[in-house]
Amino acid sequence: MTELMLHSVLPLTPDKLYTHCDTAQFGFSTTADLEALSEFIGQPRAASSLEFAVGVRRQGYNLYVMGPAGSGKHAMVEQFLAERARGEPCPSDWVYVNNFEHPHKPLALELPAGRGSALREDMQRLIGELRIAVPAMFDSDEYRTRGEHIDAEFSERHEKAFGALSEEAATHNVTLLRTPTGFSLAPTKNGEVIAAEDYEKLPMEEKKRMDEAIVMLQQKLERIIRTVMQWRKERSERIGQLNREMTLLAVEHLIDDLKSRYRELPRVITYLDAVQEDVIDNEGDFRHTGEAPPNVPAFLVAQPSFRRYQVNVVIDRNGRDGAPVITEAHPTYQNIIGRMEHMSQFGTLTTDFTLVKPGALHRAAGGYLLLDAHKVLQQWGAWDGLKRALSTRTLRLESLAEMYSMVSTVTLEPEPIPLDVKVVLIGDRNIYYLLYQYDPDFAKLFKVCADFEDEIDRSSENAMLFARMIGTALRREKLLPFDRGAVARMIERSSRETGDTKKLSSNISMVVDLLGEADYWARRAQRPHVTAEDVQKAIDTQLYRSDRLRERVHEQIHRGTVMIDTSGARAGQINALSVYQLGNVAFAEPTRITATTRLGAGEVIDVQREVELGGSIHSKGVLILSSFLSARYSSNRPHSLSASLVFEQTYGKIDGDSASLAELCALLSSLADAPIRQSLAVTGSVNQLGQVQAIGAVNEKIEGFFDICSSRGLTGEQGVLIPATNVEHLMLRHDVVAAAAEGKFHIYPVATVDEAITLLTGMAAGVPGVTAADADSTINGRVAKRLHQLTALRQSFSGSGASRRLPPASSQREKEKHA
Amino acid sequence: MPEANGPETPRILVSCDASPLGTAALHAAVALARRLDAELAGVFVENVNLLRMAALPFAREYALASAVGRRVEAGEIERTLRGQADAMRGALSRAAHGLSLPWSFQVVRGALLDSVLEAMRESDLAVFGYTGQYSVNADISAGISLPLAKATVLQQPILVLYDDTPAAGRALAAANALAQVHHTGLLVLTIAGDADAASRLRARAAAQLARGPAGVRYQYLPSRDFQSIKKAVMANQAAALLWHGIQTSGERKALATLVDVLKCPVVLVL
Repeated sequence: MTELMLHSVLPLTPDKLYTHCDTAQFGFSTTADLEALSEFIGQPRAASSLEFAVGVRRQGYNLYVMGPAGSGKHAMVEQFLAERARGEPCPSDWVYVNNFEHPHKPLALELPAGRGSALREDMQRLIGELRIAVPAMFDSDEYRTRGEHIDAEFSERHEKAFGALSEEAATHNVTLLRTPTGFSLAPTKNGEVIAAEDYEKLPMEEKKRMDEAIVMLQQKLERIIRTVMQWRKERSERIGQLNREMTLLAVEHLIDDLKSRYRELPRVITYLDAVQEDVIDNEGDFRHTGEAPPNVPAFLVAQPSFRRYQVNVVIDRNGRDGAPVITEAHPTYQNIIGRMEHMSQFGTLTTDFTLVKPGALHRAAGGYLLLDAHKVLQQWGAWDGLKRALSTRTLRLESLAEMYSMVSTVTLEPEPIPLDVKVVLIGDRNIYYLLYQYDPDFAKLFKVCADFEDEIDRSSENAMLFARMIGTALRREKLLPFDRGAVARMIERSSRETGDTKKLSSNISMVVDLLGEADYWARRAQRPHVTAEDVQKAIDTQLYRSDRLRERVHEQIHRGTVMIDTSGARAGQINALSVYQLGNVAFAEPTRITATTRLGAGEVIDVQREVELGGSIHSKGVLILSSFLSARYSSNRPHSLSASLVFEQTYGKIDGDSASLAELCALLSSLADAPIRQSLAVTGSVNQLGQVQAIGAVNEKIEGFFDICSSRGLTGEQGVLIPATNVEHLMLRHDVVAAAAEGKFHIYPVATVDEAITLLTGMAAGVPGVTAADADSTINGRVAKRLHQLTALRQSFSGSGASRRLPPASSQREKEKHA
Repeated sequence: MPEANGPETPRILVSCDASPLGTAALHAAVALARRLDAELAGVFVENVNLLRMAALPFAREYALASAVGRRVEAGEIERTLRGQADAMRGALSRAAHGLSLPWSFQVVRGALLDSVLEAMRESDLAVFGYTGQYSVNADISAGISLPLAKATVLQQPILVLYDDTPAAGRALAAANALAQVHHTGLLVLTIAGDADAASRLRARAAAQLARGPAGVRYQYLPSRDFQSIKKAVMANQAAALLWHGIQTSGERKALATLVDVLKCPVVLVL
């Protein structure tokens, strides 16, 4: 039985330690021979989601694309959409024009693609022509003659009225005088206005007569002036009417010509009619020469503005085919929704429709808009603005500062533009689930989710697609082609990244980085294409560049500061393996775990947890192994063990349950007083039944112990025990595989704690439910025996009343805490 | 104020108010002074009749803008006239300084024409620029006619009365100078009893203008009555009218009326 157990776990053969990519499966010489790849690799679920979301043109069927960072999902989605969009109709142009009735509410006009800019140019040309035609019309003989007729008519009226009054006044020896601001009447003598002293000397009758005449004439003068005021108004109206008629003559044919070009667009026709009316109403602007009056500085003379006739093309499809695919890299509220700019005019901020600037939604209208979910959520107001636009299906420009009453200045209410757009949010899974949970609008607006896999199957088909993907990236990045060996090495590296021989990483970003670095080494070696050697060089140098901390930790071990034995045997002491994850670098180092056992109340004390340096998963692992001990060895008697487990020389937080197998083995070793071989390290978690379960980062852990052993000299005794279920994850470094092939280092796959303890102690585990015959020759026998002894000891204490002096450990700790 | 040059320096007298027409008259005077290297003599005439009127107990002014009558005081009229005189003096000094022309300025009280003629004893030429007594529709001109300062080639000519007197020759020379300065046309109104006499006058004027502006036109006027001249000025939208001769009372009255009603500066040449 013991011999059987001892030989049941054999070290893994080298072929199990590394799954090579067979270059024979590739029918190409270099990636230059391969077709470009435009499809998704191993992402059928995401691809079908994307296809579905794009196909459904209903409200709310926007898409959330989630997946790991660096998976290239953004580029893939953008490429997919670009291909789809190419075959879709090009959406309309939209322009903002002045609303002549309500200038603060600019009008939005829809025009066929490409005609927005045409209208802008047409309007520019029109205004240029009007600035020539209108003044010319007012310089014409016709206008001058008609104006003179009007003037002459009113001059005649004035002369008649004032002449008659003047003549009547003369009959009374009174003259009509022009004063600085009006008229007055005064009595005369010999053609001169009579002086006040002379007037006083006049006889009373004469004065009375003169006074009466003056009063009568003053009344008439007043009536005449009132009539003149009416004439002035009448004249002004007739001149205004004349001006309108002349302007219309200049404008009408030009506008008619323009209207004929846009006859199929009724809103444009209405706009042009409004332009015509406005030009007629403001003909003075077109006649303005821009010259300053004498003695007036030119800068003080207001120049006529023709901005109101401009056309602000906010969506311009001129020269474009298909639907737009827009990516907004900086998704602020303004960059998504658009903004209204202001300009300073004499110290105040003003705006008009020409300062309406489009946002990404304008540019993407009728097509697709790609946004980074995380960035959108980071920008103030951007998420709310996006949701509002999608739920109302209109693009309503509102100033964010105005909305929150942060500024008070002239603003606009541009007419909303209908919005038909498919928004694709790209982000991680956390954001998706958080939004789904906490934002009720999210589920209504983003009904489709494309979930990109972190990993893809390492099948032959996918390997070939992976090679084409590499070829495509190389062409895009203008890098040297890769030969088959280099491609195979890339695939192996990708597999190692996943920590799984049956998977490939979907981290395209990592692949592209490695391609570039391999290209660098190939060029340095003056090779025409990249080989596996170059890829390996790139991998090695990548590791070296980020290897500083690992080297420092190794140094501590080599110098004995951190105590790790790689030879000899010791009871209750074992080499576990810890992984350090720092940014994108992960490495493992051995950590010594010690276990002590004594008489107690059935508790396993996890020192890490007691000092709050252990995570919850780690604590769970310790509780599981504690439960395993109780169930296996003390199912029908008191469990009178007290044990302590310590991760020696660790000063930071520890989490995870991958050391629970090592901890259990240390405990068993302590109880059985069976020394553990220090040439071995252990990783794996256990369940309550003693089965060993898979853990993560198995490759890094093996390599971490290998590096320590290798630097001290491989003895052929050293190795690592790993869960049997982790074998298919092995993609070990070549030097580790080579050492294993030479029998200098061993990887043992274990399925149960019994297999592990047998390998570690060299003593058969035996079977649970131990018999007296096994009591000293098997681990299980020894443990059972020891526990029986402890139970008996405890019972003896109990019988003598000593149990009162030996309280359960937990009660003791409670007291200490209260103290 | 700079000292005037010696007695041989020609002297151009300008009498105007602060209205746009007054500004145009000042421009015309400045242009002529520059052309003829003459001294500018500004004369502002305070209308004595206005001052007397204001002193009367029943004096009331009826505003053109509102037709509302109100008591008017002599002091108010004096202040207004003083303000206008200051404005004219300022405009004259700026214009003269800008061109380094000698200039002088005086304020006289009396009737306009009489006062200017009195001041013209040492001058050959006077430029008038006053808004007329009856020109209540002065704003009408804004839409149609342009002041002299903005005269365009041939479109707004300088009009000059021309007959067989020596003063007519001087008036023609001054009109020619003004037309050249303003790059505008010249319309010679030949005043003669019959067509033959008019032809002779035209030939003589043409000879005098042999090196004159290109756009010279001639128009025959049978007499120099006020209405005919006014009609010609308005029909041609004259930039300025050059008048000579004030020997008869009819001529004086016609000139006084034209100064009053025309919308262009009137230049009197003695």
